[in-house]
Amino acid sequence: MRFFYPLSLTIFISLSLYAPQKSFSSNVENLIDELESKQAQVDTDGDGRVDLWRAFDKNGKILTLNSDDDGDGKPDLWTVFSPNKIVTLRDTESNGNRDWRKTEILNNNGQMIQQTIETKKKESWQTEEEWELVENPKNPKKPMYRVKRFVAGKVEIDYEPANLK
Amino acid sequence: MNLQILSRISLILFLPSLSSANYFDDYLKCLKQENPETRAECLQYVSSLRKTYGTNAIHFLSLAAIPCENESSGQYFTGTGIVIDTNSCGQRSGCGTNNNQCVDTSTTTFTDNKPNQPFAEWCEDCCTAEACDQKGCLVCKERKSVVTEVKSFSRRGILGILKCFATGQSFEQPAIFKTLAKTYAHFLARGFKISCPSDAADYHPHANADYKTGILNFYPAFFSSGDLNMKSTVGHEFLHLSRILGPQYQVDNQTVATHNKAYEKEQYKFNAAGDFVSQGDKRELANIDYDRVYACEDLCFARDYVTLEKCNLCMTYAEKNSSKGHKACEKLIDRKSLNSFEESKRTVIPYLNEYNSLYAKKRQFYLDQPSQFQDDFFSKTPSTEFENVKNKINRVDAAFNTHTDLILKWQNTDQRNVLPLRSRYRADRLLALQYLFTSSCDLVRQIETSVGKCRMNCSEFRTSVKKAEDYLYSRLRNGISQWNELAKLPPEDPDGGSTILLEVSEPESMICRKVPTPVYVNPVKAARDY
Repeated sequence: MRFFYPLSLTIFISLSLYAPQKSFSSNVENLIDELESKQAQVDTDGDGRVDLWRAFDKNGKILTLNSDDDGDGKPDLWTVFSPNKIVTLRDTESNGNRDWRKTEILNNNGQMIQQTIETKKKESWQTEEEWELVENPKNPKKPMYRVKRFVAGKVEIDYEPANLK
Repeated sequence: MNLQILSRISLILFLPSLSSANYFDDYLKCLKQENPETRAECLQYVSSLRKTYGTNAIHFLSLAAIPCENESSGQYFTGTGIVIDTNSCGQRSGCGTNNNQCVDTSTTTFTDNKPNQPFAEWCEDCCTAEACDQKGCLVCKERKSVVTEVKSFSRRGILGILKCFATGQSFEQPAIFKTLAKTYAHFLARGFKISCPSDAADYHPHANADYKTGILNFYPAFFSSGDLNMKSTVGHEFLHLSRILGPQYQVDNQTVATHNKAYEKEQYKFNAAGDFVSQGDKRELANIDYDRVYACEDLCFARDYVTLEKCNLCMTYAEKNSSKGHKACEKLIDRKSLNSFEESKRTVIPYLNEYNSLYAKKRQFYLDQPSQFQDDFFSKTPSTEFENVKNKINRVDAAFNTHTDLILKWQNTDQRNVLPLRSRYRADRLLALQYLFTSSCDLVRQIETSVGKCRMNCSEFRTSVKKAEDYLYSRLRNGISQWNELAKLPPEDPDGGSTILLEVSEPESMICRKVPTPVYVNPVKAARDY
């Protein structure tokens, strides 16, 4: 018995050392497979902790996608998918508060026709940026986005489609 | 593929999109209704899953491995979230169903300028005008094979860029790796589309990406070559999609000003006037870091070339790889030489354009004249014409010498110890030769046409031009010899992929096609003789 523990430990270590190691390429491919196969929980950086959570409806349509970017094991980005709308929230300060929000409005073809980015300051949401799909005067077939950026609630920069390249 | 060219393309392009949750509806509809063969596979698979897990456990999207095509919408669903626009990436319109209808004269991929020259008549040799890019006819490939190739390189490109930044690899950047993995997860959810628009205004190969629509565009010049294995380009463009996670997570900021300029150490943004100005936003990577990203992208894929500077930039980024990196980079061409090469390429193009423009005017002028004056026109101008031709030949020849010197320099550099890097230079040398052949052939063809149009008293002109033409052909033959020597080298891409070599498997095809000299009958002389 005195020798069993060290022996078992030796065997364990030996098995660990000689266990076939997955090649790096294989690991990345496995990750891709996991992402594509709609696995609900994924460890994207291989540190042994789940950092991507997804939920699907019964047909496999994505409902939510949450991820942990700062490595604390908790989500700090939340994305909610619904028909014609995608809302993304983020905790930018890693303090548990969702202080950044992006709302995308889509048309029936799935094209984003409006996007609003807001940040939360003193418990109220302030608009930082607005995108809106508008007619392109140079090419009616290819509409472009008008972009407004706000500072303290006022429009500071307004990009007309004609100025966008 | 020169990513420097790619990187200067504006990355905001807006096209109709299929992004977001509608991807799932379209995909499911496609699986259920559109494709009988796929539907059968689908039903079989679902049936087996039901037996194993019961009805409620089945997620249709566990069928990810089953692709399907919705012919009415022109979309090919790979089943992984990637959708290929079969209308654009498939067979070119008007090319018919037979590959043989298209003349396989590959285009040069160097020029930044759209040639402004009267080549329209050359395109008559192509199966359609749309398939002609003014440097030759585009290869028309069968739609199915094109879509298959696009499907293959798109996934491999994303996989490649992920590997590039992963732990233990040449450019270990866990944060970027994680960002890209999550970007992929997001676009699997939204669906993203690969398109190959054929209406691009530019005549050099390029690509762009738009994270808002989830569209990656690959422009036609890619598809003029025999191989669509553009995985590194897919990887590069995929980086741009990371912006979807939020501005602080983008790997680059998708502006021309911040693309690929190592000497800029701060990021740029629009100011109120719409100009790019330095912002110094600490949340984002500075340009020098972006540049390392691009440099390392090149190193991650076997078929693009890198400069010494780019190589060092990448290899020294991860300190533990620095010694190995420096050794690998020692024998690469330096920026100065590359710039010289690029510059000499650029200098040839205006000369050719000028010549072509001049010739077109002259030809049109000739055609506009009453027939009785047409003979006089050419008979009085052989010396001027010859001087023009001679000057152009000299200029092209000078450029040829510059290229050849550089090519020989590269050939003499022993890069056998850095195989993945060597392949990039080999590809570049071959492209340089291809470019020279094409340029020279352009000139030869026009000389031939010129001689053909000359009707009277042209013997001096004809003889002189013939000498010049022979000289050019001789240079071409020398170039082909070099080409053959290069082609004898063993394949060096460890992945087994090959973009350039396929095009040079028959170097004889690079010899200019001889244009039959028209036989002209001088009606005045004929009448007199009669």
